[in-house]
Amino acid sequence: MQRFIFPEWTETLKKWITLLAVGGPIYLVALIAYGVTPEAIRIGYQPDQPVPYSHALHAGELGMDCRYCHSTVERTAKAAIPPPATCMNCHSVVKKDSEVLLPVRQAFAEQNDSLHWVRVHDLPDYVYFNHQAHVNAAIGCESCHGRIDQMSKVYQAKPLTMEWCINCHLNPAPNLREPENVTKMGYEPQPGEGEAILLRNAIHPPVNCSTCHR
Amino acid sequence: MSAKEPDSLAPADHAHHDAHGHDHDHPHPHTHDHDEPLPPTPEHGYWRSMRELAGQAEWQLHPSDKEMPEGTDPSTAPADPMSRRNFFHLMGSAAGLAGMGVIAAGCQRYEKEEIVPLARRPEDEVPGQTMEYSTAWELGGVGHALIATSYEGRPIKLDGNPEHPFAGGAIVPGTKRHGGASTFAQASILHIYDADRSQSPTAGGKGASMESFKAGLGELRAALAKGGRILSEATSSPTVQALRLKLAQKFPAVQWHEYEPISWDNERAGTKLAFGKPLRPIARLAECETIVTIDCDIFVEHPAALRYSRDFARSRRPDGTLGIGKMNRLWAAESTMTNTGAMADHRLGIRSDLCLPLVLALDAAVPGVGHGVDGRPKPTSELLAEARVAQWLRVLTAELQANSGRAVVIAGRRQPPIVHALVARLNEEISAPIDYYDVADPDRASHLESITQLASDLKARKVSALVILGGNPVYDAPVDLDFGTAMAGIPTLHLSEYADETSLKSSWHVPKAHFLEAWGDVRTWDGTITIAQPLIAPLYGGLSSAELLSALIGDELGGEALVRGTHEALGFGAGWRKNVHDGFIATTTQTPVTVGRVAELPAAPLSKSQAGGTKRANGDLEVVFHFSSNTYDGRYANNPWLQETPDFLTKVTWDNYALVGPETATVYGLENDTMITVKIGDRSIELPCYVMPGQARYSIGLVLGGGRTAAGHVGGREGKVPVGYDTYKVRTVAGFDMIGGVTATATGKHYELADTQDHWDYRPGLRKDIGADEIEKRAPELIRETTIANFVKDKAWKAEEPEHFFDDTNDEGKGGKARGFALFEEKTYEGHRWGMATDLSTCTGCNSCMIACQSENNVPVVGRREVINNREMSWIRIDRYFRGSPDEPEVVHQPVACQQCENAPCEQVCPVGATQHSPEGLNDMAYNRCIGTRYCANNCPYKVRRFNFLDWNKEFRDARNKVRRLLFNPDVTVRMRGIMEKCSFCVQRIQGAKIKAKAAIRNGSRAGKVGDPLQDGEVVTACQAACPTEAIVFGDLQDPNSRVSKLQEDRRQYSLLPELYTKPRNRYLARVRNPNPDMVTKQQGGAE
Repeated sequence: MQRFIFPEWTETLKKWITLLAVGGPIYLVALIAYGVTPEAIRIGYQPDQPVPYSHALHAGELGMDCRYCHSTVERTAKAAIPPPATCMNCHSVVKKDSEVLLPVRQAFAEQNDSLHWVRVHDLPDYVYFNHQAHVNAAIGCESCHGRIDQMSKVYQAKPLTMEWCINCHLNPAPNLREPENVTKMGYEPQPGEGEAILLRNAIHPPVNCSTCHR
Repeated sequence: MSAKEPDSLAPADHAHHDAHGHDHDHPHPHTHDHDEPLPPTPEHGYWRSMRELAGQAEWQLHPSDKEMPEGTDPSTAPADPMSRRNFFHLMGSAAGLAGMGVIAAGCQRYEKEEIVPLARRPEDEVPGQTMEYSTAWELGGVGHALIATSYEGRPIKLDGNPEHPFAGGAIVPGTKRHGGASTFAQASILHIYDADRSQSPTAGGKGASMESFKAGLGELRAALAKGGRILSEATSSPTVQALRLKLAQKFPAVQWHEYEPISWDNERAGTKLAFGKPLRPIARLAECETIVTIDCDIFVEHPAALRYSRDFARSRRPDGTLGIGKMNRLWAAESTMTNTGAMADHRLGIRSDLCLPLVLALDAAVPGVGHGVDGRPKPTSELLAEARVAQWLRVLTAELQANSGRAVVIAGRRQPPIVHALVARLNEEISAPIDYYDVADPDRASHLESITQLASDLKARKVSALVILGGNPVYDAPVDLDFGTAMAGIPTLHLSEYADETSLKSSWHVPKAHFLEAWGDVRTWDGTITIAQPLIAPLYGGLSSAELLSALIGDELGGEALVRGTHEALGFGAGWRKNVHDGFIATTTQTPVTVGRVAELPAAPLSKSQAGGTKRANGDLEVVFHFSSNTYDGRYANNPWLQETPDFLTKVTWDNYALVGPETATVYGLENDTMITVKIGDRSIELPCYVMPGQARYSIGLVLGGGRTAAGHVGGREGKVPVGYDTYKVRTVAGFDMIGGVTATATGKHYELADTQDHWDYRPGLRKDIGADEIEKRAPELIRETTIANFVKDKAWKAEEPEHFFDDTNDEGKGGKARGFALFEEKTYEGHRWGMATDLSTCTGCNSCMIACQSENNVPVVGRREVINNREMSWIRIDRYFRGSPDEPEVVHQPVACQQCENAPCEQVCPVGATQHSPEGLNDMAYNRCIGTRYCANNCPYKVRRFNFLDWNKEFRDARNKVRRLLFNPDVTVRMRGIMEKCSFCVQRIQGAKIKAKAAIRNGSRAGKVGDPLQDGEVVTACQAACPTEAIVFGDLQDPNSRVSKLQEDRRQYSLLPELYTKPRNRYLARVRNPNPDMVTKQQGGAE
């Protein structure tokens, strides 16, 4: 029986198989490890909403202030999703027969139910985030929510992890801006603006457990 | 006395007393002669339970010996699908799928959440922010003003209304006032979300709709018109009163009855005897130097308990209304040990029926202005010759005369009218600071007469139809009326929150709206009209009593129209909005009426039992009926918070029982934790026996409110073992409040009461390592007491001995000993430094703080079985200590929550850093970090940490319990199993106040600069807000002028286990007693 001689290309194959055998598991582990990080899982979460409301249109193109709809953001822990009544302030005149706004009009007319928006920026139930505290301390909306004015459908732009929160609590200056600029999107703080606010507003973000966990 | 008694009555077993293991001379209380001086009180130190005193071996082996007993009997443990074993099992089978599957499961986001904004947000509604509304609640026909906290439209907490004039005014002038609220008031919020509440009308036991009920109303009206009856639970509502008149006009044949199983009608009858018309006496305790209660609990059971608690606290403080260095003195004569007896400086435990000779003797001894003293015969009762009684009477008489104008006597609801009348005369004689108020319904028959009349008419078939508004007469009417049978066959409509025992026997049942679901109005005990504003639309449909009455009349008006209509008719229409906002109409507070001289009272002949002495033969014992701290009269049976809150004195949860005094128990062989038979006439009941220190000799207290068969999942329903025993089964018309001729026999059957008295025992080294002598020495360090005389005389007295007093500066010159042996790094604080002070002088042990904490902090309920396993979860517990002899003990209550140590031992041992020290000195607890090693609880010297052994909140994740979830306070995490938890000093309230203040300063709506400390009183913990006597004060220790700072510098302040150098932030103020010098026994004289 003639000896089988492996063709020469199998040498290359052998090299690749070895590489795969050694590198594959490493790659897989790295991939999975990255895959389960909050950055990978949460950033980009973009659920469907009952109404295709576009922040890009309202906040971006039309330049509406965040607080027109999220009116309680300075007063309480929640920024508040606006009631359909707020939408109808304009949409009883503007695009009043639009097909996509039908659920809004229905919700407005119907007293017992309302629009079921899906929460995008979701923190664990044992975390107590407070908008009032942050907005009044002059943290920009953008710092946590990203360029909302460019999102036609809202997605999560930041990891919202404890590490991420703590990093800012340890060094808040880069995210501080003059109070009148809090809701401005794409705002570039002046050099030294954050540090000035830090001093002026006496901001010492606490990092003990009960600051957020109660 | 002993000459008359048959020999068989002599205590059979003297050996019992020797079994204490204490070397003391203990003459039997009945062997002394009349002239002999009182025997010295045996010198027991502080003790918690009879078990402990007896040194029973069983106590040492009791499960509560271990702080965290391992292993539950699997047959009784709730099935847990994710037990450790199951977990590994699942893991094993999942191994095949391995990697990706598990990771995929881990990769999921949190459960998808929806945000559903209101279609139109009401004015002022801010999502995420709580709102407070004034409202009112009624118990037994007495209104109480409340403030309800609402979160996004759902009520989550009830507190007292601090603005209400009835229980008004800050206790310490110039401080912020708190409302205070009873346990029942606070816990009543649970019922609003109770899925066991009746959800639709029923007709003949079958479900029906509200429409079909309304359609059938015509028939009912026709039947009523022919001679129907209305049976209402007692109500003070002016609207119901108005509707009642209207109903009488429309249906002249209809008669109105009113019934309450726990009623103060004896007081009405008594004042009628004395003054010719029923009146409501309310004493001004803040002015009193001497307060005498006759079988009366002024701190919990009395309708004016809140006011009395507050006024008592005012004159009880060494710097209170009586002036510096003076405080009132409380005398209590009672059968069952109550919170009042526990607070008393001189308590006399006597059978309830002996209160008549006692009051007669007092009345005869106190010379009245114009009444003369010689004209009144002294009662002849052997009781009065007994040394302890004679001394009590002699000293009290002298004191009453000396304190004329500053002394008052208050009689309890169980006492017959003549006692109340005599007390009125006594009060007149000593010019007592007491006010009499007109009652709204002077002409009604008493509750007992009314229900007796109704039952006999029902049996005689004189009733064409019966409408029952609230109440549960089939369960709680006197048993000899046999109300359930009497109403059979008669068209009956029952309006009630639950489809209860009465509903099941009624032809129609209609769900009643919870008081937070309907408009209403009530009168507080002083007559102030108080408006009950609804906070939510009825969750399960339901009508209020007023709405049902209106429907019967044919108007079918809504609740708001009815209440507003009444108020317009009364002339308060113009101020409606303000009145609803405030919750009350200030101008309706009645002015006291001027009463004339007390009329000549009929002679009060003594019964054979009253003419006798203390001692009774078996077969001639007394039974008194006592309200339950767990269910009131049974109506709160389905309330798990109340069921699991240990009774004020017995510390028993989830049960009712017979209270038997130690001597009675010994003589008749009745043992704790066994079943006994109590035979009253030809009726008898078998129920557990609780040997209650201080319970009067030969008097048995039967606690009402157990054995419900149609209460719900919690309190018991058909076919299930009910909670407790139905003592109404032996309560008759003749023996409504108390009755003699009772036999009690042991059955020998064991029964385990779920009592918590030996739980969380942290007296240093108490158990095994040290001897009894050492215990006696160490235990008093936890409870410190003095007398006011001592306190005033000895200016150098300090509750905390210098050698125990830790001194931060290590300044030996100041008397502090150099310590400097902290095991861990000492911390310094900037900004706030939260602390608390609890005054043992004014803590009445009313449990209000416990329910407040449960409600505020989502504290779970664990159930009877797990309480026995030492797994109750309450963050604040009230330790109750006895001192002295079991028959006549002194009692001290001590609320203990996390001491928030500055050198906290718990923090040092957590392997994952789940419990950490905050810069403000709180021991933060991060639930999400906790892995459940329980090291911290093991290392806690105060035993205040609670571990979630099982998933107590599991049921709330069930879709069926969606409504019950609404009760949770959204500002506090709901904990999972395997998590340690403890008092957080209401950190959610602290953070909330800080965030609000900072934001307000930053946006310019508050003066000051960021970082300025909060004002004193800006943060109020839940327990502090609920405390009727303001015994709990919370605040910032960094602020030298805050109330808590000043209290912590008081001479009375001390900390628990100071020798451990934990530096607790929670301090106690030593209890100051005020014994009459003439009464001082050996024990009281030896105050520390």
